[in-house]
Amino acid sequence: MSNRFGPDLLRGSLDLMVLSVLAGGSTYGYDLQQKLLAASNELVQLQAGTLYPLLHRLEADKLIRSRWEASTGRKRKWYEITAAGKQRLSTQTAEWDRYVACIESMLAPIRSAAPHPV
Amino acid sequence: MSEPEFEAFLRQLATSIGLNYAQKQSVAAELRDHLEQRLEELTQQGVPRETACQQALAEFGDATVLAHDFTLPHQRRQRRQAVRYTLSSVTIVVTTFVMASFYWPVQRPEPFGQIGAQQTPGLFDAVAKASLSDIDEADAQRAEIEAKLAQRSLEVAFTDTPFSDAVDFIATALDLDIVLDRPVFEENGIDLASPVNLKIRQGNVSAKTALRLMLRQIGMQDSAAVVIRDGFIDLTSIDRSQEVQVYNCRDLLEGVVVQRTPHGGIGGGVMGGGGGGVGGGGGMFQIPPEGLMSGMTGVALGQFAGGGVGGDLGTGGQDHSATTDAGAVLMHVIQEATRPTEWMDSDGSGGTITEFDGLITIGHTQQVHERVADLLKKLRAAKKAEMKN
Repeated sequence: MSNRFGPDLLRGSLDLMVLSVLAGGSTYGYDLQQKLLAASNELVQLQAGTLYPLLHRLEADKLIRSRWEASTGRKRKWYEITAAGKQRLSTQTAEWDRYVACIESMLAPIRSAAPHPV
Repeated sequence: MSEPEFEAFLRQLATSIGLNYAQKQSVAAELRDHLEQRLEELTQQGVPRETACQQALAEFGDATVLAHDFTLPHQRRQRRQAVRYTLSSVTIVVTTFVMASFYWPVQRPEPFGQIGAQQTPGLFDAVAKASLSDIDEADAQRAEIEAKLAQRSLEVAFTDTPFSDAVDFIATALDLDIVLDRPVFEENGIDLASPVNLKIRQGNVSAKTALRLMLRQIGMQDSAAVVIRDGFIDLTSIDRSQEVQVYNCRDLLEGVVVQRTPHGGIGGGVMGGGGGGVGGGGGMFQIPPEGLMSGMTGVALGQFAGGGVGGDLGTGGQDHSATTDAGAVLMHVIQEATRPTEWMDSDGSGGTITEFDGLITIGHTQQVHERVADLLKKLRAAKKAEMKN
C-alpha cells in the first residue's frame, strides 16, 4: 500500500488517533480498528498487535478506562475516554496543529522551488 | 468454541506475559474475541478457514514480542509505585529523625537543675503531635490492608492452579499488591508453580486464611508468613517477617500511676483528676521496685484491671516518669502474654521492646505483632469496661 503512511510517521500520532476515535464514543478493540480505518480513508490500518498494547498503555496512564459488557450479544471489553484523556487529546491536538504549521512553513520554499511543468 | 490455533497462541502469550493471573485471563479473553471476529469476517469474504486463522494470528505478530509490549506499561507502573513507596519510607524516617533531634535535648535531664529554664513546652507538644500523625497515617494504611485481608467476600475455585497465579488472583480480587519473596521459596525447595487446590465460597474464609491455607498446601506453613509492609503484602520467611512497629499506648497508660512503696512494691491507680473517690485498692498494675531496676526481671504483675478509680492519686498533670513506669509494666504484660521465650534470647536474636512517652516500639515477627495487637485490643476493652463501672 504505497499511499499508506510509513510506521515512523504514524508512531508519534497513534495515541492521538485512538483518543480521537474514543472521543466519539465508547467502543471495543476490533470496532475501534475498523473506525480508524474508515476515518482515515483506509490509510491507517493499525495492526491488532499494535492496537491492544497501546490500549492497555493508555488505560495504565488513566487516559482511557475499560469495562466488560455483553450489550452486543457477546462479552466484550469496551473502552471509553476519561476526563484526563480528553484533556490530553485537547493539548495534543493543539500541539499537532502547531507541528503541522511548522512543517508547512518549512516545506513551503521547497514547494515553490519545485520545477514547473513545461 | 475458539480455534485450537488461537488457543495455542494465547497459551504462548500467557506464558511470556509478565502479568498476574487475572490480568492474563482478561488479555486472553479480549484477544480471543478479536481473533474470532476477524476470522468470521475473513471467512465471510471467502478466505478459507485455515488461511483466515493464520492471517488473523499474523496480524498480532509474534506472541513473545506481543507479551513484552503488554508487560511494559505494567512494569513501568510497578516501578513508579516502588519509587513512591521508597520515597515515602525515606520521608518518614527522615521526619522521625528530625523530630527526635528537636525533642531529645528538651527531655534529657540537664545538670544543675536548669531544665525548667530551658524547656519549651510548646515545641514538645507540636513535635509530639507531628510524630503521632505519622504513626496514625501508617496505622491507617496498615488498618486498611488488614481490613482487606479480613474480608470474607473472597470466592475462589483453584484446581491445580499454580501457587503464584493463585496469589495473583487474590491480589487482584483484594486490589492489593502481594509480593512473593522468591528466594525464600527457593531456599525451601518450593516451586512457585506448585499446584494449589482450594475452593472457598463467599463469606466462609478470610483472605488471610486463604493465603495461609495455600502456603500450607505447598508446605510453607512453618517457613513463610503473610506480612503487611509499607502499603503491600509480603509473602516472606518467618525470620524476615521481623519488623519494627510503634504502638501508641497513651490511651492505655493515661491516668495510670505506678508508685514505688517502701515494702509493697509499686502500687497504681487510675487518676481521678480531683479529690475524693475510692483510693488505691490495687490499681491497674503492681510491681516491685527491683523489677524496674533490673530490666523487668522478676516482675510480679498484680491485679491488672482490678484497680480502684481513685482521686487520691490523681494530679491531673502530665507526669512523664509515671508514664514510663506504667509503660514498663505494660511492656512486661505484652511480653508475658505473647510468647515470653521469644523475647529472652541471650544472644539478642529475639524480639525487642522499648517504650518512649507512651509509644511502645516492638521489633518482632508478624505473628508476635498480631498477638500484641490482639492483646492491646483486649486491654482497651478491659479498661473501657472498668472506667464504666
